[in-house]
Amino acid sequence: MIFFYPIELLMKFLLEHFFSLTGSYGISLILTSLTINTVMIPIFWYAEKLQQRERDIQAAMRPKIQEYKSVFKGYELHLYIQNLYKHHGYHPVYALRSLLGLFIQLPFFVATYNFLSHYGAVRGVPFLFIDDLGKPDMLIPLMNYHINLLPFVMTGFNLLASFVYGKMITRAEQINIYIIALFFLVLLYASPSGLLLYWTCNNIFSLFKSMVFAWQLEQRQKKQNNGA
Amino acid sequence: MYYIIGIFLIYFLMLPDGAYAYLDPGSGSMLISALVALVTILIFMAKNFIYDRIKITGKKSNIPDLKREYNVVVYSEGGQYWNVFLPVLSELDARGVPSVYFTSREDDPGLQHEFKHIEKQYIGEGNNAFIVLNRLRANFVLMTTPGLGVLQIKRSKWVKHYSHITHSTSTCATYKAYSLDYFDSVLVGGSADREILRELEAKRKSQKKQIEIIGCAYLDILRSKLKNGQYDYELFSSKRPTILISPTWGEHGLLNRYGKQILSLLTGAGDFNIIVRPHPQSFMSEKKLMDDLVANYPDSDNLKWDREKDPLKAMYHADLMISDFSGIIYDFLFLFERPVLTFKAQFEKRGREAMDLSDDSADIKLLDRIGRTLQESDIPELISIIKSSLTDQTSLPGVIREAQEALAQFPGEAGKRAADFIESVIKKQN
Repeated sequence: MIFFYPIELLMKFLLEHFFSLTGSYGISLILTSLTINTVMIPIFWYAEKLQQRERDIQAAMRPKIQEYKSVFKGYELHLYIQNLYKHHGYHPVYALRSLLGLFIQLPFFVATYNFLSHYGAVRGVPFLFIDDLGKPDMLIPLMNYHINLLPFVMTGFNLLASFVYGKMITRAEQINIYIIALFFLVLLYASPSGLLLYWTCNNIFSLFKSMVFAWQLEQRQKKQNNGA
Repeated sequence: MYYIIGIFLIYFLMLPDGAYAYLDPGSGSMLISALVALVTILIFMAKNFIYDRIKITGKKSNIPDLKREYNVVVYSEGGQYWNVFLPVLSELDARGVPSVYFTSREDDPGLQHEFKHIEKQYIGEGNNAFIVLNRLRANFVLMTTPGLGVLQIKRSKWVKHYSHITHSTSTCATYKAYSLDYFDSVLVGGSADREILRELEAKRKSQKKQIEIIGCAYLDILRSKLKNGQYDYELFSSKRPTILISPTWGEHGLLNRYGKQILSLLTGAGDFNIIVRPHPQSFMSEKKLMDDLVANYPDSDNLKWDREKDPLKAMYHADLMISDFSGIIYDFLFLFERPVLTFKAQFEKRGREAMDLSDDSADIKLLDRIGRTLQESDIPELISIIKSSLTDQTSLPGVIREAQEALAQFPGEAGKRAADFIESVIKKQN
């Protein structure tokens, strides 16, 4: 799609630039991931802030919503919740504000995927213990089959990041995230190892990001508790 | 679970190929929040839409002229509040303040009352009444109905001032959540309601209402009834202290929980006359229990079941009341200044203003001092507790004064004080 083309061009430029510097597509993929993620930090940070604001207001309203649900029904319940929203200056539509970040990130996701799945230069290129960056790694031999290792490594980091990130959200949201992490494992299992290398780097980056967010949140809560 | 299925479905729809693989936990969580929000918004809006449609399907007869600019509108949900409005309307009528009385019951005694300056109209109930009230044009609207701007009655943009008048000696801590937040003023019985409302305003950072202590209008009506009525006759053949059992209804009600135990004990003792006056609702909602109790403890020389509309007769003849969480407790205390024993019923705070208050309201706290508050374990000692309460009443006058200050000040003045307030508000508007 034409919409993602500029970003694909940027990726191509970065990857080829790093290749000309390092002579290795594997290292170039890692550096590209690192660069793009670094550039995206402010967007991630802003998106996270918006989402945290939404979570805070939801958390503030939750006890009352639960209380009302336990005693009111139907129309009455609806009216009481409507009033609670009004009181908190909230409307369910505002939840969409927290999506801004996602809408900014989405083109990057799609463009990267498009670009890397059709990038011929990595075909037949080995990197460390990987024979061919253009094919699934097949690193674990098991009887007559070869099991791919990288999807598990990627999922491992994804789960770890989910675990760290999970401290900031509700249990229901946590379960969703774990399910999504496992869902990716199945979906990406047979992808080329170059792609998985890039994603694994993304997920490691994401792990650090989550750790920083979790740390920030902890500090904020500590500050609030001290202030209270 | 439906959310998860929905999320995956929308993943497939939204993203080309396998691009979703790029979602890290942060973005994944964001996407989930988005979808949850989207579903919530859709449900919320669908409900708004459906409920709004229901609103305008009511019958449209009895609708008064909604283009007319009214001065004072007094709205009553039904005849049970007539004693609250009568003193106020009488005073407004005497002062010649143009007013209308709207009621949602065709059998409201107010419709038959003769006034000089007050028009009366039945405006229908439910949706019909809401249509009228939500489009009203008036300088001042007075009602006992709580929940303005929260439940179906919304503030009309053509009404300059909304005022609520309390209709019981218990406090507004028992009201449902946010009952009075969107009124401009509240006419209350005593200082307790003022403290409660100020605490709620501070906690919710809502706008400060005008709070006017006027006393308790319906209690004034009961006072004049008592003065003019004929209650001075013998109800029982033998002179013994009379105990009035006057509970609320429902599963926490006194008769439901300890009815048989208490009635057996009191009728067996033979020291007392007993009047049992169940809540009128008990004969509808707990018919089996009532039939059972009446069959086991029928009317006799020392026991009478009282089902009269007027509660004054039973109260007049009682020397002591046993109740639970019923509003009648303070009516009895203020009118007759006699002790009340209370079985503290479990007060459900959820969904009520009491939930947001830091402490029990004055009407609950005072129960311990206007008599004893009892528990199930006290029942075997009930006879001696009653006897000591009847003989030792030295601290009662002081507690009554305190309770009056908190719940129902200015006996006999509620109508006048309410009218003063209404006139002062309207005067400031001009």
